[in-house]
Formats: sequence, structure tokens, C-alpha cells
Amino acid sequence: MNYHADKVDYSDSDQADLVFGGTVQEVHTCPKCGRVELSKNDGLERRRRGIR
Amino acid sequence: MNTRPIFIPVILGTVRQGRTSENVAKFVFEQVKKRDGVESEFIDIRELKLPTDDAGEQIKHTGFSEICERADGLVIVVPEYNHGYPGMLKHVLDSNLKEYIHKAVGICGVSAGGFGATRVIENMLPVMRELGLVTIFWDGNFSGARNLFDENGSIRDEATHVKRMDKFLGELIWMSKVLRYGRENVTL
Repeated sequence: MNYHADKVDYSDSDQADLVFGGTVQEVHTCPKCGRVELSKNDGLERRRRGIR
Repeated sequence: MNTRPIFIPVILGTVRQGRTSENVAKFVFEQVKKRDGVESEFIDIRELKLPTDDAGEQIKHTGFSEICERADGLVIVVPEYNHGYPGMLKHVLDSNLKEYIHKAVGICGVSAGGFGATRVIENMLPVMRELGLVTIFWDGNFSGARNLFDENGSIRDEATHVKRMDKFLGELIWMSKVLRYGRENVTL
């Protein structure tokens, strides 16, 4: 899966990120079939790659 | 690079009885299907029959969502009603989100008057942006909707509209290819 976008989800106020006002969802697309998946692991990819 | 055909469905964005946009959407659909390496599907939002006692992703239509997820780009055919877009079109579009992100969209506006539905097209742009869609800078402008087609549903000034659609689709297909490459290969 290729991580190519972040989108703020405002529906889950309990888990809201104070900076963005909602939950940051990572958007991933499969390079083979185009399937799309969301991940609520805010910042996981960035942390994995050492980006702050 | 992925070589599967680009998939660009055409959405007819009104449920109104007697809609003149239906002929426009069919004309656009035929033009899309003529392009090499492009697949399409015709989506009539009237046929989706989404419930109206709720909204958003809670009322997802499985078939529509699957088409949007598979899509690389969208064509939305939208009539101009009182300078705005039909509420039912917004209702349908709001039922998806992740399916649209970083995909191209081209808008074909249909108006009874002479301004080619430019007002509704402009009104659509901020909605497209928030849905994650990427707009192109060519539009489809269909003025004088009641006289655009003959009694058989054939467009009267075909040469003009084919020429315009050629530019519109050229840009949309290019953007669809570029964004697909980006979605699948360029990491944020």
C-alpha cells in the first residue's frame, strides 16, 4: 500500500487531535489494484520514517 | 507503471423528472467511451435511491462506492438549479470520502440560459476540493439545454460539442493518469 494523503475525520471527537480538531486518517492505495484503505494510526508512517 | 485502463465513470447528477441533463450525460458518456485506454460507466443518481433520513457515509451505496473506489477520475454532469447544484447530487457525493481522494474530476454544467452553467460549476469547486477530488481547468458548458438536442436525443451542434469535449477529456485523462501514478507510487 502506498501512503499518499492525510484526511481529517471530524466524526470521532473522543479521539480528536487537538491541533487538527479531528482524527487524522492516513490514506493508502494499493499499487496493483487501486484499492483504498484508511488508517487511524495518526503519524505512524511519519514516525516510522523518522519524520517529525 | 500500472497499465490497466483508466476508469472514468460519468455521473448524472439530478433526479428531477424531465431532466434535460440526461441527454447531456449520455452524450458525454459516449465521448468518454470513444477514448482509447479508457473505460467508463454511467451512474444515474436517481437509480441509487439513497435514503434521505440520514446522510454521509452512513448511507453508503455499495455499488456506487465500489465504482468510485475503482475510478481514476469522475465526470459529473450537473444542472444549474437556481444558480446552485441539486441537493440530491450533494447527498450522493457525501456518501463517500476515501474513494475520492487524489482522483481527478471534470464538471459538465447544464443550464437553461446562456452562460453554460458556469455558476453551478464554480459552486461545485469547493465541494470537490473538500472531498479530496482534484479539479481540472476545462469544463463542459452546455447552454440552452431545452434546445440542445433534437426529438431523437441527438445533439444539434455536434461538431462544437465534440471539439469542446475533446479538450475537456484530454485534460481529465491526463490528470487521471498522473494522479493514479501519484496515488500508487509517490509517498507522502
